[in-house]
Amino acid sequence: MARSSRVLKFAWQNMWRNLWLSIVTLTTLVLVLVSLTALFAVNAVTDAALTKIQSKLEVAINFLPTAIPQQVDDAKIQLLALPGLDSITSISKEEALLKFKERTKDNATIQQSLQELGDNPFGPALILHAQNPAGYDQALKFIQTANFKDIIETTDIPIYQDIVAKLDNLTGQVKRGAGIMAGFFGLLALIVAFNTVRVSIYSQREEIGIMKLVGATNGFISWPYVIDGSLYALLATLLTIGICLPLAALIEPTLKAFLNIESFSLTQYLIKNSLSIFGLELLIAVVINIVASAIAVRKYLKV
Amino acid sequence: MLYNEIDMITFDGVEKVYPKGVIALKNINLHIKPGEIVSIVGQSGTGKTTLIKLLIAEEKPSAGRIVIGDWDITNIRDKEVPYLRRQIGVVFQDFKLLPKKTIYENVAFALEVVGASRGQIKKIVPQALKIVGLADKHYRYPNEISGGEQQRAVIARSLVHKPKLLVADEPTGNLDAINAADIIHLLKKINSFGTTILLVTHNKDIVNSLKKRVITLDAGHVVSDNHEGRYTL
Repeated sequence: MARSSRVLKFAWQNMWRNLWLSIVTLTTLVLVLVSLTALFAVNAVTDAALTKIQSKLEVAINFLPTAIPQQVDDAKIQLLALPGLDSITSISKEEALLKFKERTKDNATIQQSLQELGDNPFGPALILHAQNPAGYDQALKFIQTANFKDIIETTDIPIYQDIVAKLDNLTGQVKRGAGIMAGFFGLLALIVAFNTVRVSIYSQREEIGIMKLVGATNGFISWPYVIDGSLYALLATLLTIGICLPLAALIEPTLKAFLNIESFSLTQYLIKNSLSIFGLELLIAVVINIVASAIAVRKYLKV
Repeated sequence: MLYNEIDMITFDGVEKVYPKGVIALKNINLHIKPGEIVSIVGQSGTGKTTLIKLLIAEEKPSAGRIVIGDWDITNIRDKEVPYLRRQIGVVFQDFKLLPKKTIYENVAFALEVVGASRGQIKKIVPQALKIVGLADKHYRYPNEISGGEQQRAVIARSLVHKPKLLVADEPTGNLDAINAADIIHLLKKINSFGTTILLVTHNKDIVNSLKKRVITLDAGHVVSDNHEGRYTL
């Protein structure tokens, strides 16, 4: 009991009486943890942006102009039964024509051609929305054998699949790039933090030697450093939370406006994942401090 | 029981050879009785400090046997070293006070490492500081007091264990004549309580004024061992 209270007392004294060293160590750790949080945030924002792009994609099934509404409705019912599709929007021949006219209103040649044609050249269409690419794959397979396959003029699914493949490739590259960057900066940050702790103990090597000469055991000398390391880690994590959450709230409106992702909130993401993000960071900081302290102290205990 | 009534320190054919074959001590045979005050003299590099390092197990002998009381420390294990050091008071030329602790805390630290209770510390530390004349400066940090006062604080720290052996390695080396005389007076006072004192010094006046046993080292050998001797280099 007396030993534990003394270890705690020495840990506190060591931290307080080496104030500048403590501030430097703490600042380095905070910078490291803020950088790690930023890497988590960038990853989440990238994910949200890519999901948004994927969700904005839609696939059209264009029917022949001769297809009657009853056939289209029947096809819609069959497609809605597929589990991978979120919703299906019906577009009548007339709506298709109106939309085309609206899209090409500035092109006089097209407008004139339409007038010359007289009849509506468009058929009805179904616009499919799926949760993910697999939903569209499923729809494509179904269409190839469906009883309404003969009244389909064209479908966007192959084009969509190409886009999705490219998007997947891009996503993979972005994630790999982010992973390499995270790994590089993370490693850099860990080396900096590790060496800061070692330098901090190096400056106290003479004191460690004196303690040994007075008859202190290795444990009696080392424990306060371990406690200090854990306290630094805890304080650094709390400061990181105190910096990152308000910062996330501050940049969130700009981020939403820039990326146009209303459904994603960086602050909510950090709060929701606080245990895994900040918990992991606390663990990393504690491990860095304890390992660096143990290595450094051990070196100077050989007196 | 650590100490017997025969010899406080026994060096039996002790040799110390450092890496690259540097011989620091060769065939040292010494017997120091409890309550003695012994000066170890010799020029720089004659092995005086090595002798101290062997006593506090900072170094291990290359050959021979070292016994303190009835504890053979020749092959002392690393984990036993702290327990040895707690039973020997050591005073260094460069003081070796903890700079971030007050004088009181420095003295108390020696008791804290042995697990003394707060009550014991509150009782013993002020007594030790009073003996060395630092009762009124207990709250100061080492850099806020003079060299002589720092050395007295070190002596207070080495006394709180009530050691039967006090080793002083050039305790007056960094002090002026008046402070040096004060320190020697203090050591004599401690010796009068029955503590064995081993004093390593270059100071001829101190050795001559003590009129106690003088062991002279030269090139790692004991060249003279005289009771009530004088500094003869």
